[in-house]
Amino acid sequence: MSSLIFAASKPLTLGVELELQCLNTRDYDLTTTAQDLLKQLAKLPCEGEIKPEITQSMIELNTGIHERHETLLANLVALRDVMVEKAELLNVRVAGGGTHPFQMWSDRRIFEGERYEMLWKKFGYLAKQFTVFGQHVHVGCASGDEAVRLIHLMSEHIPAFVALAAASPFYQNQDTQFASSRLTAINAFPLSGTMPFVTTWSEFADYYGSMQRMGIIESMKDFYWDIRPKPEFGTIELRICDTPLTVEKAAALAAYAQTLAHAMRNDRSSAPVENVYAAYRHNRFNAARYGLGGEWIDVKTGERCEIGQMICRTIDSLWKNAETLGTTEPLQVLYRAAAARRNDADLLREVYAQTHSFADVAHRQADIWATSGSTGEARA
Amino acid sequence: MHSFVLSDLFASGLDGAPWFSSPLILFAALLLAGYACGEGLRRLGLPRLTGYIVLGLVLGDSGFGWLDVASRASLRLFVDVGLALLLLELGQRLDLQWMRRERWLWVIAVGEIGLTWLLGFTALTLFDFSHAEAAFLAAVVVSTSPVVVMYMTREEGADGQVSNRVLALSAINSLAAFVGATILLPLLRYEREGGGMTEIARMLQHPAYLLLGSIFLGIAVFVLFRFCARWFGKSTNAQFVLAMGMVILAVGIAHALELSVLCTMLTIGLLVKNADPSRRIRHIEFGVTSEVLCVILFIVAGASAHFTGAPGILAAATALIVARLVAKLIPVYAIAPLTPLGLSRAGLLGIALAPLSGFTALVLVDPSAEAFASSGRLIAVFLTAVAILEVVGPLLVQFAFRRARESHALEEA
Repeated sequence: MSSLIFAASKPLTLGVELELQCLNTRDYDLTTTAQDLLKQLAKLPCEGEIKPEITQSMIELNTGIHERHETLLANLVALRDVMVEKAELLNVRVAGGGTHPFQMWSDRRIFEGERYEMLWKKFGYLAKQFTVFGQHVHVGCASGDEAVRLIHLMSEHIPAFVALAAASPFYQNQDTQFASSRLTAINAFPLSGTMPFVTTWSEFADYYGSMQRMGIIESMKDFYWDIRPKPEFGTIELRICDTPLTVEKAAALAAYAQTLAHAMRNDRSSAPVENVYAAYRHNRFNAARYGLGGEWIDVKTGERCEIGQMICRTIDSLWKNAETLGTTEPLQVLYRAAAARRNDADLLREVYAQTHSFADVAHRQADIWATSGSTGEARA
Repeated sequence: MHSFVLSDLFASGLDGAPWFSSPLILFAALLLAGYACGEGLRRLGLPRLTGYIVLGLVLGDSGFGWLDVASRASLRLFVDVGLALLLLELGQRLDLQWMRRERWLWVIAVGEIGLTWLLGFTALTLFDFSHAEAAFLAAVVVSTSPVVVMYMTREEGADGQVSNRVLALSAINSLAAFVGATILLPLLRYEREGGGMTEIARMLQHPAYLLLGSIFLGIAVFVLFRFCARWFGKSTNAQFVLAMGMVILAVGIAHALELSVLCTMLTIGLLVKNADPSRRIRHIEFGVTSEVLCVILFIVAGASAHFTGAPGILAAATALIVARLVAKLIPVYAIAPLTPLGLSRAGLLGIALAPLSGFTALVLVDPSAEAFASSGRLIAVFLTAVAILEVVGPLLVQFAFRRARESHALEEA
C-alpha cells in the first residue's frame, strides 16, 4: 500500500490558476519576456503568486485561497491590474484566451529550468505545442475519499466547463472550427484523459504508487488529466477550461465548480458510477468542437440535448446551493451565456469577421483582458 | 588581338567593364556574391551582415576600388528602397505609449546623445580639428546605425528588453544626429567659405527644409497609405503590395525633393504604429524582399567606408570610437538600475549601441555633403571609424542579443 498523503483542506474553498499570454505590442505575436515580467512581479501588493510556465511566452497567475466568489474575484482583479501595469513598463501586453491565434509553435522557447528542460527532452515538439492557456480551478476537499468521489461526479460536467470557457477558435493562423482547439494540444500527451475509476483514496494511492514504481511518473504533475487530485493542497483540480477572456468569467467558472461541489457533497445518495465515462469522450469532443451548441448525451437516460441546455437545467437545480454560497450572480451570468449559446470563442470569431486580421484578434484579447468590467461578460 | 586580364577589367572601376555597366547585372552579381559571403559567415556563427559589409570593404574604397562612386550611384535606387524598408520596420516598432511610460529611456537617450557629442568633440579637438569640424563630426557619430540594429534584430529574431531599447535609442539618437548634423553643416561651410550673418541664416534654411520637409512628406504619405489601406483590405498580399508602393513612392518623392529618406521613413513608421487606432494598416515585415535589398545595401555601405592606415588618421579614428563607446556605456550603466533592465544587461545595451554605418554619412549629410567631403582629413577619420565599426558593430550587437538571451538564433544553434 502506498503512503500518498492527502492533506485535507477546508471543504469548498477555492483557488484559481490562469495561464496567460505575453504579447508584444508590435504585431501582437507572443513574446519571450515572461522572465522579465516575473522579476517585475516578484513583490505583489495582494494575495497570490505569479509563476513561469513551460515556454517563455506564458505566465501563470495563482490566487490565494478563498471561501467566497466575491473575494476570489477581487483577488483576480487585483492580480490582473498589477500584471497589466508592470507589463506596460516592459512594452508587453497580457491576454486571456485558450490559444494565441497566429503564433507558430516552432518559435517558442522553453523556459529555463530543470523541469521544463526535462519536459522538452521527453516530449519534443509537444512541449512547445503546449503553449496553450488554461484555467485550473481548485476546490477544497475534507479527505482523499471525498476528492476521489467528487472527481468522478464532476466528470459528468466536464463538457459544460469546456463549452462555457471555450476561447480558442484560432490556432496557427487558422480557424480550427473548434470552440476550444486548446484541448487538442493536451490530448496528445500520453497521460491525458481521465483518472482511472478508483473509488477510495487508498485505491488511488496504490495506483499512483505502481505508476511511480514502473517509472512512468515522478509526481502528480505528470498526469495531464481533465480533473486530478492535488494531495498536497487537499483539493481537486479542474484543468479543462480555456483561460477565459476576462477575470470575471474565470471567477464565475470557479463559482460554478464550487456550487456543483456543494450540491454533490449535500447529496450523499449519489455514488460515482463507471458508466459516466461511457459517453465522456463523445460529450467532451462535442463541447470542444461545437461549444454550447454541441450535443450532450446523458448516460443515465440516454437523452440527447445541447450542452447549453444541459447547463441551464443544471444551474436551475443549483439556485439554493448558490444562495448559500453567494454564487447566484456569477451563475446567472453563466446561465445567460448558456441560454444564448454564446461563449468567448463566438466573440473572437466576431472580432475576426469584423477585422479579417488575427493580429487584431490578439490585440482585442489583450484589450478585453486589461479593461473587462465587473459584469462577468467580455466587452466586444 | 586584345589580351584580357582581370586588372584591365577593373582598371577604372566597374564602369570600365561593359557587362557591369548595367545596374541590373551589377545588382545580380553583388547579390549572389554577397549572399555567398553572408551565408559563409553565418555557418561560422557570425552575422550574415558582416559578410556583406566585408565584401563591400574588399570591393570598395578600402579595398580594390572596383565598386567606385559611380557604380554605387547606379545602385542608389535599390539601396534607398532597402534602407527605406528597414527604417519603416524600425519606425513601426517604436511604441510611443511605451516610450512615454518608460521615462528612463529618455534620460538614457539624452545622456548618451549629449555625452557622445561631448566626448567625440573633445577627442577630435585633441587631434587638431577645428571646433566646427569637431562639432559636426561628433554630431554625426551620435547616431547608432538604425539599419544595422534593425537588420540584426531581425536576423537574430531578437525579442526582449535589450533589443526593444536598442531599437528605440537608435531611432532617437539617429534623429538627434540628423538634426544636429544638418544644423552644424552650414556652420562648417561658414567656417570654410566665410560670409555674414545673412549667409548663416540662408544656410540654416536648408536644414529646416530637410527636417520639416521630410516630416511633412512622411505625414502626407502616411495619410495616403491609410486612405488606400481602407480599399486594399487587410489580406497579407494586399497590404504588402500597398506598403511596397508607398515605400517606393516615398523614396521617389524624397529623391525628387532632395529630402531625407531616414526622416521620412521613420515618420511614416512611427505614424503607422501610433496614429492608426483602427489598425487599417497591418504590421508589415518585408522578409525575403527586404533581405535581397539588404545584401546590396550593406555591400554598398561597406564599399563607401574607407579605411586609412595612416597613423594620424587611425589614432584619431580610434580615439573617436573609444570616446563614442564610453559615452554610450556611461549613461546606460548609471540609469539601468532604475529600469527593468538591471545592471547585468545595461552593459549589453551599451555595447549594442556601437554600430555606425556608412549610411550615417549618406543619410545624414547627403545631399549637402560637399562641405563635409571637402575636408579630406575629417572625412578620412570618419570613414576609417566607419570601416572599423561596420565590421565590429554587427558582431557586438549579436554578442549583446545572445548574451541577453534574446536571440532565437541562439536556440537554433
